[in-house]
Amino acid sequence: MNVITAPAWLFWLPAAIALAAACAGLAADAAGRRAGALAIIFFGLAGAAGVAAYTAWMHPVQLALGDAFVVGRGFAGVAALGYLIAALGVLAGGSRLSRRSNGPGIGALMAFLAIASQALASALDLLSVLIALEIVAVGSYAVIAGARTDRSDEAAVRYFVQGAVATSLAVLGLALVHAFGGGAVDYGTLAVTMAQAPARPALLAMALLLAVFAFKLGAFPFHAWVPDAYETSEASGAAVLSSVPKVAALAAMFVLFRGAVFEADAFAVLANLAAALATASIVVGNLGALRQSSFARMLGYSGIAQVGYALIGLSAGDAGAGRAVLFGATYAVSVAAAFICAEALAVAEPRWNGTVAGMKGLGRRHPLIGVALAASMLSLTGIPLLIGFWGKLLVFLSAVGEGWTWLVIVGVIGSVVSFGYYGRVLKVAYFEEPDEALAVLGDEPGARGGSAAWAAAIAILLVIGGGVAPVAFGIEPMLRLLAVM
Amino acid sequence: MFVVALPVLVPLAGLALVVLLGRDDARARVLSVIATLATIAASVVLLLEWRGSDGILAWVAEGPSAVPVARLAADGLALPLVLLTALLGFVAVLASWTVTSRVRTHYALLLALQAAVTTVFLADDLVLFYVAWEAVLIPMFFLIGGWGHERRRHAAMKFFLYTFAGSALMLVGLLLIIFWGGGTTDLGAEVEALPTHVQTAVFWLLAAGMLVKLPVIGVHTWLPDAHTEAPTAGSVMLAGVLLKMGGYGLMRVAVPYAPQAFADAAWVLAVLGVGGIVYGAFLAFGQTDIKRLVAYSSVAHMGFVVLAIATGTALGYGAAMLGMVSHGLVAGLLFFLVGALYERTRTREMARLRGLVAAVPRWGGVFVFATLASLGLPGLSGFPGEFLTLAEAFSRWGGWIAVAGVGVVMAAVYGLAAVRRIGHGADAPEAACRDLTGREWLAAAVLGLPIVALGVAPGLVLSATERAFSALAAIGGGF
Repeated sequence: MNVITAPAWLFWLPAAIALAAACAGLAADAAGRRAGALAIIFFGLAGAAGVAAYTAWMHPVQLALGDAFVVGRGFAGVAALGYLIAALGVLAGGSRLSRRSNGPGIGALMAFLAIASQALASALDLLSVLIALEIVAVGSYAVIAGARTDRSDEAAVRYFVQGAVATSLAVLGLALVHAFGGGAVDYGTLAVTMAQAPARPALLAMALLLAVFAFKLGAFPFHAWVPDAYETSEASGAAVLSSVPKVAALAAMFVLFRGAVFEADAFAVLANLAAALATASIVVGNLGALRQSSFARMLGYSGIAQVGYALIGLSAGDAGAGRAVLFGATYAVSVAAAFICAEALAVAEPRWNGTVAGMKGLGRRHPLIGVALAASMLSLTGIPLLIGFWGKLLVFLSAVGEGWTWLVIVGVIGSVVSFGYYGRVLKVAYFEEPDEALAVLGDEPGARGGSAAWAAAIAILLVIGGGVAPVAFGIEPMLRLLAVM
Repeated sequence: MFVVALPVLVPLAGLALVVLLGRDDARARVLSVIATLATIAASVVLLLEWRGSDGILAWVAEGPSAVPVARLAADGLALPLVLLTALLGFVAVLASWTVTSRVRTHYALLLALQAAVTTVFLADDLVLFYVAWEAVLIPMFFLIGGWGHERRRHAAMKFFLYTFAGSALMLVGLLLIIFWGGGTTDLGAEVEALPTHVQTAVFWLLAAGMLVKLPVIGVHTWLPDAHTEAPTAGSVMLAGVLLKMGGYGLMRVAVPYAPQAFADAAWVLAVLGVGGIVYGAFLAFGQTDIKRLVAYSSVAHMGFVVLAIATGTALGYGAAMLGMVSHGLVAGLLFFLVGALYERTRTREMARLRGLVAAVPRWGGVFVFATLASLGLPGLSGFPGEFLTLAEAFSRWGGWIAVAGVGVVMAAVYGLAAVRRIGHGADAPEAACRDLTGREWLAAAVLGLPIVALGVAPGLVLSATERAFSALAAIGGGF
């Protein structure tokens, strides 16, 4: 077979750049240069994103490093997106983080999260996947607690306790798989041994591992940590938490459940399980989000519903699961943009109380943040000409192709309901007059949102550019960057 | 043929210019006028090119992708609506001359709206069709919510939620078409007929989006709110062209892809149509707000369009097209007049408006003219479409179509009653206002002349659509 292989360094180079930048940033912090430290981390992450994006564009999906990792196309694309969003998180958080002693540490943690997410998305070995999941989890606890408020401490501890339960499930699942595999943990061997394993214990192992991923994604019934975590962490941290690990986990699920280990006919029930989780997540997430007054909590609940749309893809066969990763990527861009707007607003108006109602007249006070906010809300709803539409379209199309029409109808109805809360943000930000007290804020320092405004501008380019480009140039460039099969 | 893309690209270019150069309000206005006039010119050029062609002009974007989304095609079904959109786009710009708040954004949204609606009519790709269909919502949502009247926020949300709910279901129907068509998204592609049970699902899913847009009775409640609360330009575009997307979508997508299911559903559509004609007319009669009256009359007129489509004959489709173009012109003119009146008097209550024919004779004269066109006076554009609709429906379903006659009579009643209430009587204090200006005359003439032309020579539309509709009726089995 005539396969052009990518040099292995294309796989590890982004991670090495990000790691080096994070370490250099910590060193600069130790030397007392917080702003410089954050700048180093930002540029390192941006460079890592560039290298990974180049790999995604140039190289098809293939194995690397002794068949331990899968690289190219969507796998590199997911990594690139992780580094890019982490970079934007650092950029957005820059104004506030550079004023706090733990700021550069939080920036470095975001870099570690992105590195671990790349490993999670690409590993072809169950032990590596679970270790990467655990690193992501530990990093997430720290980022949440890094906000240094009582509520964020509480949310981090609660997340940690629930995460510990999930970890124990993971260990149990790993033990079962390990037993069937006679000690092997690489996917190549496991695919064979799991197909021959006794049906019921094998299904139990699959269900346990599915539960672990459902917890990481924040799908029903493992969703309780999500709203608290998003609300109490700083918005720049939430931008990374809510997006990067989710895409990586979706990619890992695609490989584990559809590409390698649980692909035998005995595991066909997975589709029904995923459909049930999807339906419940869409219902619970949407109903929960409708009742929220806090912007970040709303995004938390709506994130549960969004994971439901991704799970629709998982229930729709191999192609659908691949599209779920692409959907995850478009969701990640949109939700990160939304949190970046929240960060920019928090910088521009320190007295903003975090509620949707507090965004009155935002569109007129801060036109740039307003446009970014509008674009991200419409993108999360799934309106065309914004990037979120394409993810939903492709997931729904593959699900219709597998005969899941009713599930797609649940999905589109969920999307319509979601405009009830996403649209409310637009209504408040654009159609209501600003409060008198806030209207006079215009000239205070930082009133434009500082570096977070730059991050918001980049987010606008991604959300709108990624939505319009497929109309002008066809959908293929997007598939080239984000398709995993 | 690149000329097919011009009616979409010209307003987009205008949008870019307005955003970049329109810092000054007056300049934004002038740029918008130029852009919409250029769009009319581009549409006329397209029409002339099309007349010299073999029925369809197509254009595909040159790009790196083997599966382009940006594919446009102009045929007899699309062109009348493209021209209508171009005319109303110009009128909408004239109608928003007095907007003083965020002028640049207002015009930018109008031009974006025009480009999106035109793309719906020209799309030759199922994905592009849906993209454009939904893209229409974004500028309209902000136009209603940002520049509308007292209850604009509520109306904007309601408009978006209703139409999005319909079109989200429509998306599922489109996905089923794409899947069963073997993955092609080409809107005109020759594909094997869908299995009957799939056709039924496809038809009703598509109809969900299109019937909400039209709207038919039962899912029409967004319309009075949105039309009444929208700024004048928004109302003109809503009534003039957005409603037509529904009728166009039925004829462009739903009937060709699900002909069997359409034939089975024809009687349901007919009932909805007749229901809309009667219900809209009665509710219009009951209104005290002149803008709401015009809004409810739209429900009645769209009832005629649904009834005409339901007949499934070439002449029926032609009648639907005539009805849509006529209603676009007439309702556009009425909303424009009512908007101009509201600017002067700050009221839409008919009880406070009296004696306008005497007080502002030019406004009053045009209003009487538009009302007569609306109620279907022979010689004006409303008549041929409604007459053909009733004739075709009668030959298909027989006597009980006479129920729709009640609606026709009621249309005369509410139209003439409105003229009597606000046109005659002793002058109210509100009547002491300025008459139509030169700019407003221009807008009225742009819509009034085609109203007369189509009334005298409905063949202008029918000859253009003949070939497309004969083919469409042949697919449906031809009743």
